[in-house]
Amino acid sequence: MNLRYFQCGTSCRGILRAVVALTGALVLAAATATVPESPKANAHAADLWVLPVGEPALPEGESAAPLRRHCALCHSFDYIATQPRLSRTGWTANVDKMRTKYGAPIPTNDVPALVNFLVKHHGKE
Amino acid sequence: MHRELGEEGTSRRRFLKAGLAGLAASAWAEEMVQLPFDNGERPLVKYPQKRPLIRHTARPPQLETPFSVYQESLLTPNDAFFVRYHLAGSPPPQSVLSPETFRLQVRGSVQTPQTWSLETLKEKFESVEVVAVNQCSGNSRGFFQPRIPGGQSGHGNMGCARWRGVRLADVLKASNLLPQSKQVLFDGLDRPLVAGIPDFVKALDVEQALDPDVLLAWEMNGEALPWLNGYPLRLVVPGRYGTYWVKHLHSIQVVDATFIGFWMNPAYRIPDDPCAHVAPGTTPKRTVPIDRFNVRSFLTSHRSGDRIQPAGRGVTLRGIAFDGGSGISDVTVSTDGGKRWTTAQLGKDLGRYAFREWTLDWQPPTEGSPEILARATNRLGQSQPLDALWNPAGYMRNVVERTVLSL
Repeated sequence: MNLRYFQCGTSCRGILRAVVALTGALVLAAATATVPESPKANAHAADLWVLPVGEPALPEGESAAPLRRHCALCHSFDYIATQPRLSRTGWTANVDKMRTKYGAPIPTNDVPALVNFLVKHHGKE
Repeated sequence: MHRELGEEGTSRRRFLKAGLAGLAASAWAEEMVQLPFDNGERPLVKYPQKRPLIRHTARPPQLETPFSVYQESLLTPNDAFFVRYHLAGSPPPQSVLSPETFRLQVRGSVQTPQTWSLETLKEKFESVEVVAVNQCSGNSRGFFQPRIPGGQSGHGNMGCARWRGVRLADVLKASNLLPQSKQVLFDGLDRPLVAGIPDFVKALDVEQALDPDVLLAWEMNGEALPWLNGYPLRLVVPGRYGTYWVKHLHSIQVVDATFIGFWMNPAYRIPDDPCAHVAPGTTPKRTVPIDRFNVRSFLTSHRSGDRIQPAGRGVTLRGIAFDGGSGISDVTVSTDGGKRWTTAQLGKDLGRYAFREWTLDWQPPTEGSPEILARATNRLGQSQPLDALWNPAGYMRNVVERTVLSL
């Protein structure tokens, strides 16, 4: 028994139960499935290899200029818009992650304006 | 035109953005769904070879399987299977994926570097099949509390398919690994579009790569891989998180040292702790690469908010369970919020990496709001926690999920 996993939701009772169920499974016939095992053939398999046109619109205005200039290089705007509302600390850490870990070419002097926009429109303060 | 989506969770708000005045003709007049967490509104968007799926991001494409699909069949249909890319140059264009010109290279710390076409791979090596779950590391990230940035998915970044291909081990052996080889790197044809952004390259230890269940697969549920699921060839790593299942795989490189590329370090790492967790909001002291799935189970026959009708008649609760490859040994179900538990009946065993169906016949009470919980245990005795665990990247959620029904 792998004790490492003991704390993750397994009790001695759980293990005993597992042993009992294993034995039981050999006795019981397999349950009648309530849904088919195999999926239907893909009705869309012959679709043309063309991605949907367009992306969610980027925000307009001068305050969103750094976002349009930098973030949109690598991902569509919905990657920002679907994030949970982050604090200033949270957005600062994320912009930093994009710059230093993902290698996004965001100049240091654009960072404050970018963070301000993200906190104002997609964050909480 | 409202679709019966029945997304997991208590919110069943559905509406049409197209109904808003003036937007009817807009390209964004799509059907919307509400995932049951804050800021969880998403469009349903139709992609090639796919039915409309829950779109998290357009570039790179991140598409989630509507949860009702798991009640449709035990194996997840190709046209509903989730899609998750990382790089702006995704998916690669059809022009570089043609089976006639597509080549897989095996190189690095090997005696015999090789270049394989799809045809020669199929001719030279034995074809095998495995039924296996693929699950995104961040499946269910939207439910973490406190919330965590990243792809904000519900429970639909998972699927189970029958994969067909050749054993990676056979292909590696044909190249004769050198004794000092330590890891095997996998690279697909999706790529970054901006200089300096790290390419998506993943590593397995040599012993993991030689596991006979790891496949180079070209077929999924009896059909060619869909474009967005890795056509024409992808890595299938049963029991391990989707991050290792490199799509459009064109390069295998054997190396003599532990690879430290971005997508292995610092990305896709978990706290070095038996349960991969830390206190919410804190940073782990040490991390390791994410590895095998933990145990999960879901009720699929009913969604939170569903009304049991007609009252007084028995119903069958049905769901799925899976783990990282030992196989599910039992699923217990509570219909009273966790006070009493009953062992469910397990369905056909499609293999230790597959979704395992479970069912339980249940006589609902005549009043109240029954809360249904399902908890699976695997053959190693590992199970699911009743309270959610947390880690900084929002990976590996496996708390016992709760579904509240009404009568």
